[in-house]
Amino acid sequence: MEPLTPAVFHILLSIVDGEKHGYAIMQEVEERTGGALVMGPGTLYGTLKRLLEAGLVEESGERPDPALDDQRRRYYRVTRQGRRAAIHEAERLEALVRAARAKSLLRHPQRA
Amino acid sequence: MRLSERIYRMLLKAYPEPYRREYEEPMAQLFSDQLRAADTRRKLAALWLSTLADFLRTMPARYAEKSRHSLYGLENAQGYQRVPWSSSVKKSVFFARYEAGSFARKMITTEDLLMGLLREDRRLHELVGGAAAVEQIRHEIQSHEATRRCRPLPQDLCDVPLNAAASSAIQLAKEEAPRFGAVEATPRHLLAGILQQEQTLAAQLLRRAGVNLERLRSAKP
Repeated sequence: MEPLTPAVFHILLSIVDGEKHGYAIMQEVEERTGGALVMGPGTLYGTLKRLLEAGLVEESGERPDPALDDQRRRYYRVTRQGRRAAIHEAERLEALVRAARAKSLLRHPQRA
Repeated sequence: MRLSERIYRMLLKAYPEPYRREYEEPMAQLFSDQLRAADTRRKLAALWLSTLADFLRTMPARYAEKSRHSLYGLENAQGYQRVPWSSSVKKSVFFARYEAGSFARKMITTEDLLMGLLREDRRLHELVGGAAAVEQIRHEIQSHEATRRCRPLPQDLCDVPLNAAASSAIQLAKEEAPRFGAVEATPRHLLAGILQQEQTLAAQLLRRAGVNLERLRSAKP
């Protein structure tokens, strides 16, 4: 399996614990990366579109209470295949970090 | 509506029409959300700078995907799994090659693909109406003559040339699979690809046998 792009992995990571709309995904990615990765509408929806086509993400049919949210918002959730792809990518990154530690590029995490 | 929102909506008109139809509203909604959070002039300027960069990067990309005539560039998009062919499809194409040879053709057509599929995957027989219907399809294909242009077959299948409609059917099969969450393109996806080559004899025979996309997509895998 090919590595996922950062934008794809961040989107999957954002919705792996529950469905979210575009703005919530964007905010979570920005917060997680400390502002290093800011996805504009074009990048976010372009990536979501490809994820939908690839079957890694699906649009949620359920809509929140109209009194609480804008009905124009679309909610997205991860599919089983998307979860598998995210796990695979997380394991790949973990292996990379382990390799970096083995080369003393990173310190081993302090044990509590 | 604020001026910034109006300007952004004008920018959105530059995206390809099919993409816009699907994503114009959510993109405009997202930009409105961002605008609400940009409560100082400095933040507003930063938002516009990043939005313009995003627009200049993604708008041409959407056109490039469209021109590749693939599933929005899925096949070529970095970071996505390529959709593999199931072993049944590979065997079907092998049989299609044999079919092409038996009709003294140096190319694979949609009719050859259909015969290959029906030969390899017997579960499809039920979809087209049973053994008698399969025989009828075969008979009609044998008695049909047509001249077709060739195109190179994808290297991950085999090296026999493919005519334009068969090439398109192959492409559509790969697009059909991820749309329904399948991890590989199966005979049913290839059958759906053939069915969408509406002008071909294979598609006409399938329609006559009562096969349509809805039925195919709802059939058990």
